[in-house]
Amino acid sequence: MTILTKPQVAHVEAHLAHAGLPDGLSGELLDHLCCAIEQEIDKGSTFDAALSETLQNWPIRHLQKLHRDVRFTTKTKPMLYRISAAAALLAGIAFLSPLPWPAEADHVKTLPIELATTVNDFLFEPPTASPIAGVDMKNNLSSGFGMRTHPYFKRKVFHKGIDLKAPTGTPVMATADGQVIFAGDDGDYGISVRILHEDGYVTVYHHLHDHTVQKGDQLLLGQTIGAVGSTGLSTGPHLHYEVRKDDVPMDPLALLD
Amino acid sequence: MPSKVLVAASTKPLVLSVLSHGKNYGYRIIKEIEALSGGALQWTDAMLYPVLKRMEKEALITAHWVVTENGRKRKYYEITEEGKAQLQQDRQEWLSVNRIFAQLWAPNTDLSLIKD
Ligand SMILES: [Zn+2]
Repeated sequence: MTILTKPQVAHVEAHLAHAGLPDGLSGELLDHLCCAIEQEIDKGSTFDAALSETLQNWPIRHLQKLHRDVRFTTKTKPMLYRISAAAALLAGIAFLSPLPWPAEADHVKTLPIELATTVNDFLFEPPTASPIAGVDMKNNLSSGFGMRTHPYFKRKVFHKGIDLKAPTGTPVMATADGQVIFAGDDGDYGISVRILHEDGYVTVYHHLHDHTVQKGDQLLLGQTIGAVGSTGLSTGPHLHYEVRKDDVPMDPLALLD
Repeated sequence: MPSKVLVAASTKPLVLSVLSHGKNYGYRIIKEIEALSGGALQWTDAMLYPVLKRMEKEALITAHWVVTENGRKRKYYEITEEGKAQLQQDRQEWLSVNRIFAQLWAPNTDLSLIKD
């Protein structure tokens, strides 16, 4: 059983420091990465080879995504996922090898028709980032989600997104990985971009000054898609930003807490 | 690799089951699951830690830091009474599903039990 020396651990620590994670998570991952390296050394690897392989498996981007996932799963309300009886039955196959009919068979009568399960989907990242780099959505709202008096038509309409204050030309970013499904002039909405993400999420960006992506482009979280402007029916430079889940507009701020 | 829905539905019960055998830490929990499933279930690290944090928040498990012999800090997770109760309930559900299959797949299953 290999145990890393203090200077060896310091190499791993230095890598983790670049990710800027909170202390608790950083400390836990330090132990995790060290364990992974020790295991590689036990299998015959040198420290240098094991270190470089482990750090390659854990790029800064990966560490930061893990941090966002932790935040997302702990701060959002549980996504209740109703699993149908069929899916619940299906669930029985994979892990449990068929057991002989046990003595306590009376439970069959109480077979759950539905299993309500909190599903954390580990493979996708919901759009929780701010569409404007370094701009906190909550503190830069000029108009929130929901019923409001329209700034242009001066009557009550449902605001399907949020408006963020920002000067013309401020870069706008994709708030999660996804594919561009619209980029161009969208009439009253001005120059717009729509991005399809995993799990039925779509994000919408209106009134842009211009767009730098095209329909069909695959985007990564944080990639620039255009710049803030005031095109279409807009009373001044701002970003109108929407998040839709399965075609239903939702408050982008609701994903934050 | 089992489907996404299945992985998601089974993660918490599996973590609780591992912890019901005694306190454990992230890296080891992943390795235990890998070994127990004969390699069929390879949880990524990115998947386990958010779940552990969530379960901690739900009071199903508690965590505390321990300094190991070599002076490294390690975070151990332990199942709570609430976690044990949850596991008991999960167990019943998974077992009853399994029993239905065992019954249906038995070579001479007679479905005529259902009279119409
Ligand atoms: Zn708006």
